[in-house]
This record gives sequence, structure tokens and C-alpha cells, in this order.
Amino acid sequence: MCRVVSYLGTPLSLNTLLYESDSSLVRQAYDPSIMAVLNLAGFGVAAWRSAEENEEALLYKDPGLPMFDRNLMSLARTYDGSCIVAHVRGANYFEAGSADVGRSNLHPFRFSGSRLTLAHNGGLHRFAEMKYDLLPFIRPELASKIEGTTDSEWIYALVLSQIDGPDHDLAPEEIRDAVFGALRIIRDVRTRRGIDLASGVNLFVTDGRSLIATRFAYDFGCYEGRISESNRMFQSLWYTTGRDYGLHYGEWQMTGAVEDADSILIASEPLTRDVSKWIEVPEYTLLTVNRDGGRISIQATDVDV
Amino acid sequence: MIVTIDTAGFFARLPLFASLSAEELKEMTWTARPFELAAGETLCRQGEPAEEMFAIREGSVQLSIEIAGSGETPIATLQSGSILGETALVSLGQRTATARALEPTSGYALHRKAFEVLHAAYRPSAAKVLRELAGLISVRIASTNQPGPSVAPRGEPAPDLAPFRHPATDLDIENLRRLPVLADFHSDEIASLLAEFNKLLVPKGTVLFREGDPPGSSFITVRGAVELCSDRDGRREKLALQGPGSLFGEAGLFSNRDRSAKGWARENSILLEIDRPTFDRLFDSHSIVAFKFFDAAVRGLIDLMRRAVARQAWFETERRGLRS
Repeated sequence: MCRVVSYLGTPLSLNTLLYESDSSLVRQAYDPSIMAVLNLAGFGVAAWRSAEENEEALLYKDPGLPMFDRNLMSLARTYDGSCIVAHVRGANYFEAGSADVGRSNLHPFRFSGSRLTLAHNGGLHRFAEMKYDLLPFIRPELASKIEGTTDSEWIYALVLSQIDGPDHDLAPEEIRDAVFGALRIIRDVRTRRGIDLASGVNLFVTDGRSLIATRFAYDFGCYEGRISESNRMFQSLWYTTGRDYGLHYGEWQMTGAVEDADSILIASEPLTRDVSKWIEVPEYTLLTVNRDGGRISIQATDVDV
Repeated sequence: MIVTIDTAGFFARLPLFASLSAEELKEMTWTARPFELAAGETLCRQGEPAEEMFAIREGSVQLSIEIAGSGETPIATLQSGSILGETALVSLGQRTATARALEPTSGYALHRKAFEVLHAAYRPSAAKVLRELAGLISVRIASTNQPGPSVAPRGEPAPDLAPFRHPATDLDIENLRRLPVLADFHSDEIASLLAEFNKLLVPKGTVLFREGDPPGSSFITVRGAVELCSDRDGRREKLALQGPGSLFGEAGLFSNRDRSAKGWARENSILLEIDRPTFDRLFDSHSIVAFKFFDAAVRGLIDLMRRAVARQAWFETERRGLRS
């Protein structure tokens, strides 16, 4: 459940990502291509116009349906971002905490005073049992900022807690290591609690300058009782790189060669009808994306925690 | 169209149909549609729904794939007597490559519905084509996973799985029927298979087979996940993850080639093991259970091949320096 789109590159219209593309994020709220689950529990977006250190990010969240949100439509038509993370939430009505629909549970999460932002696609099984075991690993000043009931916000607090002084200018590797640190802590807590059921943790973490994305699940394929469709599917993650994402020759696509890529889209599923220019990220993989000198570079790391 | 002796003779020479009798060949190909292309014309395009297989009678076509940010890259030239898009007979998917005529080219297109009718009736002609298809796809998977020379036989025994082996008869049949690979089987058919299969309880990290091992057992993941990977320049490249409901390891049995990938338990896993004698017994039988099993195997192979081809785009971005 949940769908996420992230972008890093030359300024791109929010409208293109949210509304215009064939399988735009807002369309994925009610008609996702890869999974048969609705994502109607709210919308959120964080975006930066540039990579300037002091720029305040746009943060917009609303628990309503984004396809009927005129404020969002108006904002999207006038905002171009060089870094964007947007999320439509799918809530599990049978799991405590997840079913609470409201602004405080909407992604992307960003605590005041921090530039780092996180969106999550997935869910930690039996989170209610384990969350207070995570508390000792979260700095008190961050724990006090948790407002909602989702596992995702706790993961965010955990990631931030792995960084010394989250306000400083972060190198992509620092964010990556913080994500790994948080994943290891969660693994240890799950092991202590005897939790060994599949739990997806596709994370999108950014400070507006670099982007970390994971395609990861704890104990993938492990289920209780009899297997269901959701147990069999590893949460998906795709990316496409190039230049000038838009409508070219009647198709939504990036243009240009890999060597000249100045932009990247990473998303839960391809945004375009023609998926041949999208690359599926292998399972158990973390991507570290940097944009240095206007050029995109990607580092892939196996996630074995 | 009416299949003439000449046309039937053409199909009979194709390895995919070589094992069919004259009558079987007739029922398989009587709906074949002839096509003609001028040089440069497109036979099929990457990303389109694949509903027909093609057989080239005269001329040649070039196959190319478009990789994100890399443009169109030629991957093969197919000459007279070649087939392409044959997986369309069994599984509706997207074309993984674009095919263009290099010169005036003619041949036949065979629609999947022609095969579906025979398949639904468990006709022996469909069973024979499934088996040939399995061998053909297995070879392609091996060459996709290992584009260079074949891995040298390791000369070491394959991993000993005996400590993990248990009878399979205590598994929940209704749960197994929820796995795609066994979804078409009746409960009593699954019970008969379980009497012949083994259950493996493997902890995370267990190696099931290595590159270069002789073909041995094939497996179905019941719980957990197995990663297929390949060693390239000392780095582990992930080829595919086989989660619940996946059938894997059978490619070597169909093609009689050594393992082209390593398989290891990425999670604590429960697997069904189909050892070689059991596999061969099924292969030689002509029962409906065997038909269903090989149908599932071919679908599994097609899925694996599509994933292997798609994964090439991932490797290509690394080769071109975008990703490290």
C-alpha cells in the first residue's frame, strides 16, 4: 500500500508528476498499475525549488482526496521543483495505528528544524508491540515531535536520531548510513520480539540535494496462516534517468543518454504508459542518488540487515 | 489460411514443432497467418502486447532493445528458419524487443489463441510444444544470465541438502493451491505430487546450488525467498528473487546444462524439492498432472526470462557509468 514519487534534477512542474503523466501519482491513488489496493488515506508532498542550503521546503499535506483538491491543483500548476517527494497513503483498516486517517499520519515526514524528509511505502508487522522498544534509540527531542500513530514517523525519527545534529549540511553517505543504522535497529528489535513476518520498508529520504531510496522488506515471503496476494508481492521500486522529463513525441518520457542524465525519477511504479525506459530496482537494494555539477550519479548497495 | 504441404514442411523443420506428428502439426498451425515485410518495416515493437509468435521463412530481421537513456541497441539478427516471440503462445506479456526486417522478409504469425484451444484440451500436441518451449527458454535464460562463455564445471559436489530434507506430505494443501504455480491443480493432484516431492526447511544463507553445478533438483518456494545471482568480476549480481509460489532451478533440467546462477536462501525458507528422478518420471509420463506441471514450469521460465531481460537494463546502466 501507499505510492510514492520522488524526483531530483532540473526544475520540473509539480503538475506533471501529480496530474499529467499517464500514471501520475494522483491517478495511482485510485488506479495504481502494479497493485490492486486503493491509496485514499491522504496526500503529501515536500519540494524544493533549488538545492540552496537555506531554502525552506514546500510542505503540503491534506487528508482529503487529491483528485478533488483544488488548492493542490492550483499549487501544482505554479510550482517547479528541483527535488520533489510526493506520497499518496493507503491505510490498512485492520491494523492498529494504520487505520487512523488524519494530517499527522501523512507523509512525507519532516520535523521542524530538520531539512531531512522521509516517505514510506510498506508497513512494519506488529508495530504496536515493538514501537516502545525503539524509543531508547530515538533522541528525546525528536521523540517528542512524533505526532501521529504510523510506523513510518517512528522510522523517520529513528533515521534522524542516527545523525549528529540533523541541521547540518548532510553528505549523501551520511543519510545512507543513517538509514542503514535505523534498519539494523528495527531488525534487532524484531528479532528480540520474535517478529518474523514480511514487512516492507521502501523508504524515500531526501534533504533536497540528494536522495536515498530503498527497496527492502524484512522476512519477505514469511506469512501467518495461508498466503495471500500481498504476501507474495515485494513492494516495487522503479527509476528512469535522462533529461527534460515531459511529453515528447506523444509519450511521457525522459530524453537523452545515460551519460548526460541530469534528472532522475524514482517511484513505486512507472509514471508512463511506455515502461521500457524505466528500470526495476532489484529487491534488497538501497540507491544513493547524488546530483553533483548538474549530473546524476547513482550508487546501489545491497541491504542485508 | 489453408496449410499447404510446403507450409507444413516449413513448420515441421522448426525445432519447436519437430516432435509433432503430421496430424498434430496440422492442428497446431492451420490458423497460421502469412506476413511479408519490406526492408526496414517493423514486425513487432518493444512494449506492445505479445499475442503472436513469428516464424521467418525468407529474409532476416534484426532484434533491438531500447534501454532507458541508452537508445536502441541491436541484440541479435534472426535468419530464415528462426522463430521469435514464441512465449506469446503461453503467456500474454509485452514484447521485450523490437524486430525490423533487414531485407524483404516473409514468414508466418501464429496467434496464441490457436495454441490456447489445444492447451485447454490437454492435447498431446500442446504438451510436446510446451516441452520444446521449456528447453528453448532454458537455453535463453542461461545465455542471458551468462552472456560470455559458459561457467566451467566447478568439479566439486553440489551442496548437500540432506540435512534440510523432510517429507512434504504434512504441508497444507489448501495453502499450496494459493501459490500461482500450483493454482491449476486439484487437491488430490497436489497430494499425489507431495508424495513424490521433498520439503526443505532452509535457514537464511543456505546455498542450494552454485554456478557450474550440474543440473539437479528444481524447487518451489512455499515460504520465504531464494535469490538467484551470478558472480561477475567478483561482484554478486542479483538476477531474480524467487518468493512464494515461484518454481525455479528447472532450466538446467530442460536444457541439460550446468547451473547458470547460484541460488541461496535470502530468508528462512520452506521449499518443495523436485529431485531429478522425480522430474524425469514426470517428464516421461503423459498424465494431466504432468501436463499441468510442465505448463507451470514453462510459465515460470517465461517469467524468469522476462525478469532476466529486464535486469539487463539494470546492469547496462552500471556498464555505462551512471550507477556504481
